Amino acid sequence: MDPTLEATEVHRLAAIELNLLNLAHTLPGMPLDGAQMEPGTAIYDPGGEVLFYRVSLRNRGARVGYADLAAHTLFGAPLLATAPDATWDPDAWIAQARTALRQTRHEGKTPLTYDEVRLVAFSFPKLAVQFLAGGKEVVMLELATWAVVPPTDRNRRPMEPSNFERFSLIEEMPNERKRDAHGRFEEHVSRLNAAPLTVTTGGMVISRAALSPALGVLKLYDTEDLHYSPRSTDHHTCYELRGQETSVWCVVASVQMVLDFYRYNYTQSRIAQQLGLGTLTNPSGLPYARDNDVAVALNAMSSNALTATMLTTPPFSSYTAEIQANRPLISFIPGHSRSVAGYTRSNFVILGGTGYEGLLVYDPWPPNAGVITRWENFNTQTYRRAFTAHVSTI
Amino acid sequence: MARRVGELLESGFFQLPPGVAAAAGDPVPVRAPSGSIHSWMVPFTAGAKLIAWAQLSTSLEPLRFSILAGGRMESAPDAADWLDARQISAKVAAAAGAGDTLSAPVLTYDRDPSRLVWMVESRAADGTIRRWFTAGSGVWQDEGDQEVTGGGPHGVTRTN
Repeated sequence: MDPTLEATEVHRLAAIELNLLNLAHTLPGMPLDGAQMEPGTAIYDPGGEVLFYRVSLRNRGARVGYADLAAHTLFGAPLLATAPDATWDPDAWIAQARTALRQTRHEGKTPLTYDEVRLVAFSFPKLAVQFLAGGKEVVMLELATWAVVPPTDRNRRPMEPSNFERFSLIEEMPNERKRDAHGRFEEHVSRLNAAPLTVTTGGMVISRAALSPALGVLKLYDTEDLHYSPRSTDHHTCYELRGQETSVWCVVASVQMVLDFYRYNYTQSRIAQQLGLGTLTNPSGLPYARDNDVAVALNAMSSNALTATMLTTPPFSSYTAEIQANRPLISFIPGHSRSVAGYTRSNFVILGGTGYEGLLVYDPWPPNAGVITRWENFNTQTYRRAFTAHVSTI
Repeated sequence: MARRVGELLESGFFQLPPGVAAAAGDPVPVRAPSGSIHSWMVPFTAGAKLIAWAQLSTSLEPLRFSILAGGRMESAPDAADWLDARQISAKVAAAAGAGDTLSAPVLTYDRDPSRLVWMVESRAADGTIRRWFTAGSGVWQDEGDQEVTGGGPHGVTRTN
C-alpha cells in the first residue's frame, strides 16, 4: 500500500467506516442515517502533499457536521475525526481570506498576485489559507485570525512546534513512527476490506438501507480464545488457571499453565527448580536479567518439543497472531508474569484513536487462587516481554 | 460507579461465572504508591466467597474484570480476607508480632496494578517501620522495588 492515498480510495474507506459507525450507533449526537457526504476539501501539508480531506455531511438539507479523512497512512487509521456540531464551508473561508489579504495589502503595499488558493494544515490540526503563484507560496494566513504564518523554524526540535509555528507533519514525523502507523493503517484497511459489506449507493449516502444484506451477519468485533485444537467448532475452550503457590512465583505458575496446555504436567516446585527460583519455603522471583530463562525452560521441560521465543515490548498483533494459531503466551509486565489465552478487539477506529483492544489474561495472582481477567485493556498496560511456544511438527 | 458497572455487566462486557448469583459491593479505592487514587476495585461476592472484581480507572474506563480461581467456588478466596479491614489487620498483626502498632489497611498494588494487595505499616516499640502486604490469606513483607519479576529473592513468607 502506498503511503499516500488517492481521493477515491479515501472516500471509499470513509463511506464504509461511516456506514459501520452509523449501523453501530457509535456516534451519538451525529444523525448519520440518511446523511450525504459532500465532495471533500483537500487539506495540504506545508510540504505540498495532500494530508487529509475534510468532508461535509448533510442530512435532509441541513449540515450535520463534518469528517476528516486521512490521505496519508502516517495517521494510522482512515477516519481522523468527526465533528457533529461544526459546519464546514471552505468557499466561505477562502472568501474571507481573500478579503483579509486585500485589507492587509491596502496598508501601503502593492497588491499580491496569485493564481491558486489552498487550505493547509500549517501546524496540524491548525488550518490556514495559502496563496500561491506559479506553484510557489506568496503568503499563508491562519484561518479566522488571518495572521501571516511564519516560515518553518529549522532550529527547533522536530514535531515540537510552538503555539503559532509552521511545521510539516509528513517531513517531521520520525520514520519509525511512520512505519508503525503505516502498518496499523494497512491492518485497519484489510479488516475493512474483509468485511462482508458493500455500499450500494455509490458510497456517498450513509444509510442502513444502503448496506448489502450480508451486513446482517457482519461481526462488529473480532475475538478468539484457545481450544484443544485449532478446529474450535467441535472443541471447547481448553486452558486452565493456576494460582501461584508463593507470593513470588508468578513466572513459575505462568510457565506451568503453558506447559499444562501442551500436556507437560509439572508441579510448581519442579518448574521453580528448573528456573532456579528456590523452594516453597524459600522462593524467589526471576531477575529481569534472566528473562530468557523462561524460553530455555519451556524448551527443556518439553524435551525440546516446544520451540520458545522471547519477544520484547510485543504489540497487540503478536498476541492475536499466536492466539489465532491456538497457542497461549506468557506475558511479562513490570514486576509480574501472566499467561494470555485470548483477545478481543473492536473493528472500528473512532475519532482517530484505536478501538478497544483487550486480552484474556490467566493471571496467577493472587497466590493460590489466580484470576481470569476478561478483558485487560491493552492500551492501559505496559507490556515488557512475551514468550511464545510452538510445537515442532514434521 | 455503580451505574457504570451495571452497564458493563448488562452489555456482557463483564461476565460473571454462569450460575453464580454474585452481588457487587461498594467500590474500594486502589491507591498508587504515591497515595493518589489509581483506580477503583468493585468486588463481587457470593455468600462468603469473593468471586470476582472489576477494576475501573478514575475516569470509569474498564481496566480489567477478573474472576477469581477461574470461577470455581470451592477455590475462591473468603471475601473477609479481602474486604474485612479487621481481619486484614489481624493477619498482619500475627505476622508482625505482638506489640507493634499497625496503620489502617490501604488497598494498593505490589509492582503492577493487576497485583492487588492490602498494605499495612507496622511500627515496633523501637520505631522501626515495616510495610506488609496481604492478598487473600498470605502475608509478606514488602521488599521494595527490584528488577525482579514476581518479587524479592529472599525471606518471603509463603502464602497458604
